[in-house]
Amino acid sequence: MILRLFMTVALFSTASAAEKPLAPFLRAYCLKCHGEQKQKGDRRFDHIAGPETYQEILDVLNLAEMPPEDEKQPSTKQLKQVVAWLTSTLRKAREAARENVGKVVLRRLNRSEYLNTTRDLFEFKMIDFDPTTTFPPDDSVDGFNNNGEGLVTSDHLLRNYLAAARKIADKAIRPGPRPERIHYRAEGQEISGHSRGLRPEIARMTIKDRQPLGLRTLDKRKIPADGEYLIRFKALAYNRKSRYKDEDLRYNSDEPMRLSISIDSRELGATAHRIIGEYEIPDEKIIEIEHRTWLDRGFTFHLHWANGPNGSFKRIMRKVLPKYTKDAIYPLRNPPEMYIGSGPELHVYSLEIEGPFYDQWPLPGFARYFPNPPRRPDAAYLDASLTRLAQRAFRRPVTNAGLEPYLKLARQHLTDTKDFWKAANYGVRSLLVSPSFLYNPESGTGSCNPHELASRLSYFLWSSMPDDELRTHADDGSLLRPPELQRQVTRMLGDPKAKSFVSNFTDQWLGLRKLGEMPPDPEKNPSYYADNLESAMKEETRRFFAHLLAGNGSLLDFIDSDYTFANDALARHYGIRGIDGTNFRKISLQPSQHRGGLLGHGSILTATSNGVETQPVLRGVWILENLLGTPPNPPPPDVDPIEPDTRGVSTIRELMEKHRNNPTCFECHRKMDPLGLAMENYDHIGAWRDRYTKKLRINAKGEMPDGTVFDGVEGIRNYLKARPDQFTHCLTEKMLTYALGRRLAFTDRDDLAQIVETVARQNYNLRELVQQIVASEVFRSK
Amino acid sequence: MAPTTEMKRRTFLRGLGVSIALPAFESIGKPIGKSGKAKRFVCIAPNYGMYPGGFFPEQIGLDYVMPSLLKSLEPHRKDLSIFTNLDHPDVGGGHGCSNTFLNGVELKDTKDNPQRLFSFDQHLAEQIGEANRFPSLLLGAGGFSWSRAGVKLPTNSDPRKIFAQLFLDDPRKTKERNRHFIDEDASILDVVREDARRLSQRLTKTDRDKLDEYLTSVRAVERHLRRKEEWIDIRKPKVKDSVIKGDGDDRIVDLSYPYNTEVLYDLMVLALQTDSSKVICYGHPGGNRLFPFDGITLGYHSLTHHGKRPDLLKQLVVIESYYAQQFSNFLTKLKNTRDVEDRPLLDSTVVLFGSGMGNASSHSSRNLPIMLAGGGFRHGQHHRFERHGRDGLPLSNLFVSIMQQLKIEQDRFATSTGNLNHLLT
Amino acid sequence: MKRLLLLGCSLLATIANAADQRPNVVLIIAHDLGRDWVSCYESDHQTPNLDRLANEGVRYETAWSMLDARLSHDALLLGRYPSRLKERQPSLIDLLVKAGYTRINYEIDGELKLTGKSPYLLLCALPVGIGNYAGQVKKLDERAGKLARATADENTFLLFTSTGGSPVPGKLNGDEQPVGKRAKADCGAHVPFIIRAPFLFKGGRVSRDLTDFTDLFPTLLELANIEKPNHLKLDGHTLLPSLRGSDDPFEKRNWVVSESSGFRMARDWHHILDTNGRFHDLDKDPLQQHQVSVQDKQAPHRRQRLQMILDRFETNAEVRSETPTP
Repeated sequence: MILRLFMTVALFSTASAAEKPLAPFLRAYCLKCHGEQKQKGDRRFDHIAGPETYQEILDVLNLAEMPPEDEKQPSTKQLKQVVAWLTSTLRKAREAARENVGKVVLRRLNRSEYLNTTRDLFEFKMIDFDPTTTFPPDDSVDGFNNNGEGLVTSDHLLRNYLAAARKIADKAIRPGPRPERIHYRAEGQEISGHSRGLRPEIARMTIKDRQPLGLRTLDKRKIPADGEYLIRFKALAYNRKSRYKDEDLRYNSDEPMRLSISIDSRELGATAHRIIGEYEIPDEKIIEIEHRTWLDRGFTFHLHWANGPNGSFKRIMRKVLPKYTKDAIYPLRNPPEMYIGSGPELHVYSLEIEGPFYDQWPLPGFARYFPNPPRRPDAAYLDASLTRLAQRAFRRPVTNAGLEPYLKLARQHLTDTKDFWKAANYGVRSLLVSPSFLYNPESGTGSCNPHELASRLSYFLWSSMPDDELRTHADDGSLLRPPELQRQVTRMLGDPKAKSFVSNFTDQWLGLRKLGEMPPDPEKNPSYYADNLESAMKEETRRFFAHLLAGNGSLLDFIDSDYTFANDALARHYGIRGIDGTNFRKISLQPSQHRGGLLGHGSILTATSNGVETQPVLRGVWILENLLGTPPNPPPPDVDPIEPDTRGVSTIRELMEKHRNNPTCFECHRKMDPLGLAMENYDHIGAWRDRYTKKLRINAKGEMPDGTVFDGVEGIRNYLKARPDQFTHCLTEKMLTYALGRRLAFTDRDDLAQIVETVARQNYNLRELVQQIVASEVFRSK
Repeated sequence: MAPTTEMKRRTFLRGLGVSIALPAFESIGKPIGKSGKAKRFVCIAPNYGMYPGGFFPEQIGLDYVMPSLLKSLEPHRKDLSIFTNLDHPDVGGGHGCSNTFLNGVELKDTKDNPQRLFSFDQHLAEQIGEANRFPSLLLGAGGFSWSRAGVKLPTNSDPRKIFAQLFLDDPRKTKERNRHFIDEDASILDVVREDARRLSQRLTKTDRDKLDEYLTSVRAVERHLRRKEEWIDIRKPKVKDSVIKGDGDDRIVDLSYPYNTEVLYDLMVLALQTDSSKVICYGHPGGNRLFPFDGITLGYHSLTHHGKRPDLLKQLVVIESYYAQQFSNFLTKLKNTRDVEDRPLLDSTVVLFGSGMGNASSHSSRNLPIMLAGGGFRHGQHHRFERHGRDGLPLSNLFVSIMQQLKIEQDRFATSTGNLNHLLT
Repeated sequence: MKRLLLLGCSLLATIANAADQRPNVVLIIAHDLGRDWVSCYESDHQTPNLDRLANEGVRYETAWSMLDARLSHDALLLGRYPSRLKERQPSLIDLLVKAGYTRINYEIDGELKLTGKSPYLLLCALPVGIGNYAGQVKKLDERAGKLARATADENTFLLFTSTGGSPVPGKLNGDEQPVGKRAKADCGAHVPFIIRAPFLFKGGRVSRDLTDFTDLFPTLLELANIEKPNHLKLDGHTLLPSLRGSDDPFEKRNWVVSESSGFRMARDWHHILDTNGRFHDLDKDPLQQHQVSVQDKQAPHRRQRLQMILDRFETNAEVRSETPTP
């Protein structure tokens, strides 16, 4: 809004002045396609919309993307003149506009920031507790979901905030004595689940009934209090190798049986299901296992046969059983006594849980705000405690006057209920719904004050609130000093909480959140599920990023590298031998393995496919957008798309060529298609292939509009390697967008350019990029 | 089904070129109870639309041949209207167009003003749904219902949870506790509203606008809490749980997708029958899942990009015919179920079937697949409108007719340029 | 010819050697005694001796005889369902004796002499005498007990069972039972069935495995190390895996059948179907008095499977008796 307003005043007058070189230039070379008659790429330059458009024109001229080579070309002199004029005009405009554009819009905590902030505020072990599961997803702007513009607050969300505040307060306010221990135990068939069995002392998971086993008492009563618990069970692997063929059961009888423990809550839905441990169970020998773990109130746990037969039990009953016994009737249901015991089974003899155990009571996240509660805590203690909490929850110094309405509310509750802890709980709830908690308000304009800067920094690097140290440096103002700021960045990057930066930024920069949207078909890609490749792939990319960040690595490694990160399953998927074990580690790569840099990451290759086949167009767009920083325009809305007719087409290349015959499509597709097609050697889940079918070899050749020719992904790598600054610029743009939580404006160009330049000088060091972003003027001002 | 007197009268009206909405008492020959007008609205929306080649009839008027995808709807021909060339003029192509089915705006154009996303169903819910326990029920995959604030509303696709929400009373203790929470939350909202106002004074204009979202939400939640309090002691209708649990000893109902489609339709019939809600939306999900039907070898999304290949089309038709079949069964159930006023539910329920996706193969938002059933409209025909350049007739014109049939005195919605009353009443 | 003979000799020698370890066989066959008179089967009538035997052996919950005493003997000793006995074939006794078992004759209440006759075969029919039925069963229990004690040797296989249901109704779990004898129902064939074989397994077990009277034949052939003669057809299934406590259902039966003239019935663990089309859920309806609920979605499948089993028999096969009662 502001931007538009400004543009008319500051620039339109300049542009309309006929003596300036732009107007005749546009008339001569641009308006034919971007004028009154046509608006290719949805661009129109006879009426210029604002400085953003100038910037855009400048960019395409600099990259020599326009005018298209088959159109009339300007002379070098003309070009230089226009570029110089545009550059200086824009610089002046930027200086003039600093005050008005490129401002962070009041930012609400997004879902993950909210979760992390409550975790740090109350020192929760937020492993399974997640009060945000029902929150609506946060919209992304320019690819990132921490952008103030996109973070809309709705009544639906506010209702969720109210409900979440209740859950959090219940968890945080934990006065009174240490919770009593429970000890539930069950044996054999008492253990819930459908373990119809012939022998009552055994709870079975069979070829048909593979439902998880749990404790009925616990399922009903749930974990009574947060704390450390002991889970114990006795189990035996029965009949691992049986008469059934592995392929009939979709099972691997060569592996020892494994039993996994999950933590789940029906209340929170299927997502609240987490595997916390996995154990090998010996053949025909009872093993007793003890697992110690933190559990949250309201949760339960279950045992699963981690590597049991796969697929539907109906198939096994209908298609497999009749193969092995003539007495089974197809396709009907046979009595279970007929097949229980006939195949591999996992037997559980006993199951128990005991706890909670605590290292410290009261819990530290409670004691910090409610230290040494008096025997009869009063209103004064309530005020003091809630103020202590608000100081941190609001991430800035809080005045008594500002807090008074909240304190009054809690005091009133105390008067009404005479129950101090209820009133405290209520007070906490109100603070957690306060706009000062939910938003990161920054007042006025100019430089950030130290508390605003601390919040910016901690939400950038931790997706959470400032910790005590950062707060101290904000309180005494030392954070504003560049060396201290730099020291804090270093410290914060070393903190485990920086994982949030790695995952939130990497996932959104590279579009990894698309993973799982179009999952591969389980029937045809069994290993994708059995080996949990999706999360392994994500892990690879995150580790790659984390590795560069931790080790002062060069961000050009994203383009190509001689290492990556993998566990056994992922390495297998990549065709790399000799990697054993489920833990992730750095592995060295040979060029022949085709996995150097991001382009070889299964995560990206899978996210740009649709689960069944590759989508070269998407891959092309992905490279343009995320590595080159030149996203193609979306298909024009006012042009009715041609319905593809792919009859008689056998390869994706032919299909795309057919598509490109349409001139509307050609303009952009000539940029993205060659990139996408060059990656055809990676299939829809990122496995390497040389041919589509026995007869059909893959043709991975491509030619870019600028004439660069390449064959295969190596060509793209070289293309990118030849443009290190363009890639750095792209990454910087992305990271700055994320750091600021707003769209970049043309006013940010100078800062951006300067950061890129410095980082390039520092050997493209990724850590330096983070430092430079934090040190930049734009990061430190409102 | 359509008595001659009524037909004549309508012919007469049309002959004069009059297009008016008939008031309730003027439905002459049709014994449709106390009021001829509709009371409820149901919207069914498959995310990827329907394959145009199998959806749009070739002939117009009464004697059209039922197209291949819709064969199963033949028994409902007289209670059904099919439209060709309805679309949303402002909406461009791409996957996003499924989500703007009920508001007719281009997503990209709403960045500055998300309130424009407010969708038709939610508008109806405000107008006709407020007196029910659930102003609207959003089931299945959804994605096309937008709140006043312009936020995509969540849907519920778990039949067990929907059943509990509709028909299972909370235990008394829970009710007590909820009542407490409502009181307490209301007081919290008073405090935070004041705080937000104070905070607002420190902020720049843009930030103040942003914080306004918060204040608007506070007011909306206060309304919501009041509603909740009003309903807390009113018992939910009692319904047998056989719909989700099955009958007899072998109580197993397949709740996995796509078999839960039938279960969700059953739940919708129950919700309408018990008057739990007057506005229901049900979205069939997109995604690339493999349907467990014979002959299906590719994911749903891949099939929608069939590129006219016959082998792929054949598979797509299997899936979409399944949707049509389920829809047909739903209409049958609505015919055979009586509402609280003892008339067939279908007579008092406007059922809209359609998608914001016109042709999934090209991601086109033109010529949307639209069917209308029930609601006391005059049905039986296939209507084809003219196409001017890329635009057909605004779908919102149909929305206007639906509103008027639901007795909402309004003659505009989104991009409407008129209504379709002359064809439907 | 000569070589063949030699080979024959050495084979015989092996058998003779093995014979030393072959178990003794004791078969105690009561007449017309249903489970409703045996306390280890939850009858209120006390049979302390049989209970003790059950404690020392494995007690089968579900064992079916044929539907009359004569047919039961046929099935037990010829190893075939009576309707399938088309031609004469050697009896179990013939084969055991031929393989070197010493048949011991035993007269009820007589003296039992077992010394030096290993391995031996003892077959004892215990009729329930005329008069007060309860008293007669008590006597039977004592006689069986006496025999069991006398043959309580590590290497002895002992079976106690009965040829059919009780002529006088008893009680099971306190419930009045119908007359079992010759009843064309589960109670007509569902008999006590206890095996003691210390060399095979530890006692005190109750088995839910299914067995009927055709199973004894193959079981004893295997125990006595006798190879089944080629032409010999057997319908039953060896009980050894079941006796050893195997969990593998494929080594065990999943249906049993019982017959009388012109009638046949089959059951699995839960359901029963007969050639008159009577179909019942025995878990819910052990006395076969009620229709299976139409809402029971499993039952039709179970019925269809039992029908498949019944269809394997010739529909109108004549059932006649082959062997005289021992």
